[in-house]
Amino acid sequence: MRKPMTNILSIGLPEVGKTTFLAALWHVTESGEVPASLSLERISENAKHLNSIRSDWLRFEKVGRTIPGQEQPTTLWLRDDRGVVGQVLFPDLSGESFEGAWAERHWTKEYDQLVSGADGLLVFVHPETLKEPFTIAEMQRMAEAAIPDEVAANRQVEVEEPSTDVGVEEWSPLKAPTQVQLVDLLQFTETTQRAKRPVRVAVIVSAWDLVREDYPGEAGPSLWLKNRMSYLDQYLRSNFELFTVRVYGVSAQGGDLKKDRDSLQNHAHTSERILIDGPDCSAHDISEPVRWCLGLRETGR
Amino acid sequence: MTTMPPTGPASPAMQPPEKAGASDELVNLPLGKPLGEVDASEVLRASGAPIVVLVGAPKCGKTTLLASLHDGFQRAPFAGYVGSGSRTLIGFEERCFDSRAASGGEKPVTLRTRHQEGILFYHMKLRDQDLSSPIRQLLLADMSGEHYEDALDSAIALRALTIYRRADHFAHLVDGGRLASNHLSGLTRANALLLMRRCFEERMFDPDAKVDVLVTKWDLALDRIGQEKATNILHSLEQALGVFEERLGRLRIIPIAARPHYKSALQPAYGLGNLLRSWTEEPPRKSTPRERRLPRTNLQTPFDKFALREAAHLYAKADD
Repeated sequence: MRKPMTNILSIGLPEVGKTTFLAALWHVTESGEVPASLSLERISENAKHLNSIRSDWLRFEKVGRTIPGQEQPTTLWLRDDRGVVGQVLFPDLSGESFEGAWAERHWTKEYDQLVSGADGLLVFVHPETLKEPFTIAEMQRMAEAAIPDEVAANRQVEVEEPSTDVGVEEWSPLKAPTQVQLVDLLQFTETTQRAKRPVRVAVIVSAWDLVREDYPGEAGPSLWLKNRMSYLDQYLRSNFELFTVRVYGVSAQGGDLKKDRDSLQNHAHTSERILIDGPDCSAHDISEPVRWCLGLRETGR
Repeated sequence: MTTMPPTGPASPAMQPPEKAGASDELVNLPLGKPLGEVDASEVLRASGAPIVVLVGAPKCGKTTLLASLHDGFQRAPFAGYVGSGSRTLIGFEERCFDSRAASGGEKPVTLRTRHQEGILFYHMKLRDQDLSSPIRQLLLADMSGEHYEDALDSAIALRALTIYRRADHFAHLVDGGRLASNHLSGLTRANALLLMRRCFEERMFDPDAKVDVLVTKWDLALDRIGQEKATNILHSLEQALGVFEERLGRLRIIPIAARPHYKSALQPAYGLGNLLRSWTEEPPRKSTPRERRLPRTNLQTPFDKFALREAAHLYAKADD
């Protein structure tokens, strides 16, 4: 007996593909174009937002971002091959809202209720919008390695005493590395979700087409997370009492909407442009991370 | 924990979906800043986290050490641990920022701790890399170098630093760059020894106290005077501090380079991995710090006599 309403919360900073994922998920579950996917049991009472973002996606356009203050509660009635899964609430929250929570250290009571009621978490990251924790010394070493002649010329320069003058830019929490912001946002959920531990988490690496070549196969997304967002990976793995995690690489658009437009349009079904890698993933089945969050996959592997 | 925000209205970014009428009610989230003594005590009670107090002159590298411990986990596990979170991520990030490329600076720098900030506690949660052990917690107490200078000049100022007595690890940072400098080495060494002597005279250390003298900026010392002379500095410190060793649970002298210059052969966070492991894994001190009473000497003024009569329990007994 499944509970009547399941709440899956998408967490992510701005421009990480949360809404595009939802648009493609809506289309895949509604159209039945991907045989292995979850499917729609019935159309939601209010599907205006879902239809609007799907229209963008089907026209091979950039899916409109969720604007703070215009966030929409969206509901999908889903079923799998064993029967009705139930009503799944996907609050489509703006990335700015999460960024604001990290920087300003408060959120609305409604957000708090959504977090505390979440049965699963979709955590979105995007390879091209990452703020990385590069240190000045790392950059200097990289520059040195790239210009070996200058290295030789500078070898005699004495190591200078570190300065304690402040840097050029003023610090702001928004300049912190993406992975640190996400870890703190997940820490906010630690106190509100105690009754449901461990919570299932699907980390979605968006725009997977950009990095897929370097991280092939089912384990590719996990390896990407380990290499590029190590602190987030460490946090999720080491707090296994709180989170049970899988990592997926997802390209809901399938490629670059300008460069790859012809090839993206050259499929029998629009859903076939979707790329997804990760545990238990069938081709184009963007509903797999949702299936994981809903507990429809075993944790054993 | 539903409260109104401390200042100002909700930002546009935090307006809830649809229910504009209820948008004023906000839930405060943990601040993420360094902890004060009250919040640090809460962590202590809940987790038994060991406390490491970082002590040293201005610009000796205390905050850089802190920032480097946090930065150590940004690229990969560090010292055999994985990072499992922290209650002070905002604080760590603020300290790290000026050494990051995002600051736009050309040289790594560190935001100094201000005197008026008092003692700031930074919190780390760590777990063995193989995830076999429970999560361990650690509190690192940072304070401005002015406290150090005050303590050199004034016994009263030193006695007020009760955190020295409470700490499980007393990390005394001595600027290795200055020890390797012709005109600053004498003063730097003398002040370091003076602080240790004053701590003993004021009974700030119990017999089981663990003291680490950390010779910082080791890359700078090596660059200035070479390996042999730099090693001699360590030996010389060992000799000078040897008189204190038998009165402590442990005394170590360790060269470190938290953020070595990019041309140095030393790795980032040089020497910090083993330190972090020993600070985190050694059991916290068992003994309760000895009770210290105020001396009876110089109780001459009417107020002194009044205080002795009204609060005799605070003063040493006449036969002490």
